[in-house]
Amino acid sequence: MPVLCSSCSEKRAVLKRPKTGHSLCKACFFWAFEEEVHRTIVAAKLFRPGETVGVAASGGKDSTVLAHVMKLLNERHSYGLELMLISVDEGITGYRDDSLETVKRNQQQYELPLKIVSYEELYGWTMDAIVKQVGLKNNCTFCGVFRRQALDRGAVMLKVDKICTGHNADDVAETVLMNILRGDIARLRRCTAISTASEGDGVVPRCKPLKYAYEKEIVLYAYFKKLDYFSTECIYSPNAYRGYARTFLKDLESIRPSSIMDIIHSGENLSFREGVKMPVQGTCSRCGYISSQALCKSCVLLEGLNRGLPKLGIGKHHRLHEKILSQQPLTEREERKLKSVDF
Amino acid sequence: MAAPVAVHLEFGGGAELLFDGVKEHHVTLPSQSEPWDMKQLLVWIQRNLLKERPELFVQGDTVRPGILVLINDADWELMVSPWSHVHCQMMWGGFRCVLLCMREGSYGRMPDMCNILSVDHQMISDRVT
Repeated sequence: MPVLCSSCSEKRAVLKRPKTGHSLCKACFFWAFEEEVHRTIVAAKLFRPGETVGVAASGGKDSTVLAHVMKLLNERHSYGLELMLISVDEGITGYRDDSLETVKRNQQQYELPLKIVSYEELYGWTMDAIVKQVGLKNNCTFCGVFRRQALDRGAVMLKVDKICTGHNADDVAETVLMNILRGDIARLRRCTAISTASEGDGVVPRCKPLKYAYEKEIVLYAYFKKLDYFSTECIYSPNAYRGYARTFLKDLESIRPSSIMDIIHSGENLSFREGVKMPVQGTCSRCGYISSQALCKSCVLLEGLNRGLPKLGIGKHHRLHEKILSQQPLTEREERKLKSVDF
Repeated sequence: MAAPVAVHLEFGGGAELLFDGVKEHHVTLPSQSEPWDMKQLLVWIQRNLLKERPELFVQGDTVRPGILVLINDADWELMVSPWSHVHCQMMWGGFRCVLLCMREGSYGRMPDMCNILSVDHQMISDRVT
């Protein structure tokens, strides 16, 4: 017996919504999914008419659904936004080059302008070259730090007012868990925020319109809409600790689907004791990007790569910042510590 | 005796990586005394099609959390209850089953402890200073 849609009671249901438990047909699901994103956008006042908004596009399911829904809602509800796609080319052969092809097709399909910024052009290093030097151990640190800045640089080049990213409810819940597990209070405090405040020059505000959208629904939305997306694991090992948190979350979800929303709810409503030590936000004295140290993470990592000391940005070497800034040579002992690459 | 069942299997969203990258499979399940159900289909897939890392595909007697299953283009959670128990009679002569992995990252290599420690250490240093 096919289950009927609990909303229109006419058509055959195609999915059970994890958030509400409702069984919906294709048309009712599309409508519910899109209008929930719309409500999220309106309730959090994410955009203002006339703004130029960059959609961070990786070619994966989340950003493809985001680009699709943003274009659709912009027209349906007359947001008056000018949308663009921004992609980062990390320089990973066989992974990013393929997914960028997807982004290029998306550009045609959605008729949106596309800007690709590459690590090579920004930093002079591709991820392939970085992995060659640092090995497979800390490469995700380089990639993550560089990507964040690369998106900002792309956004500044395109002169967009805001960037929206495809982070979904599962991602946010996972990040809450991760920050609890790491004891990272500063990040725990801000990770559930739907948008970042303007943090200074060169940093474009970001927001997550899919913050309350379940991964399951995003995958099924893309599947039923036959959206063109790319899915392959990154050829370089993903963040292992996050992998555990992810598996744990998926296990919880299979027993109790609301756990994802519950974790987000908990994260949003945490209050923090006064006097908890927080990093003081400043700017990098080399590139001007936000940083809590004399040098931003990206500049330290880059310096390490260029000096052949890949471990410089991994771990605690803040006391070396002064030396780097004044271009002093490091002592032999310091160099030895930073050189060793173990596989 | 249940007659052989023609099944159109499709793997997507990264799940195909466990099947040599092959997304579509047209298979025929042999006749057997009991009617085929999803539980048996999963075992059959594991024995006959799965190429690597079974722990990323099955957990207990169902699919690993994070893999979506569609039967004739409808979410199988509509047909089974409660959430974890899998029992779906295959009443159709031929049917289509799609298994979608929700996120590519789930198929990453299993972590080694060194990696965890080094990531951790870096986070702590970020926080303390």
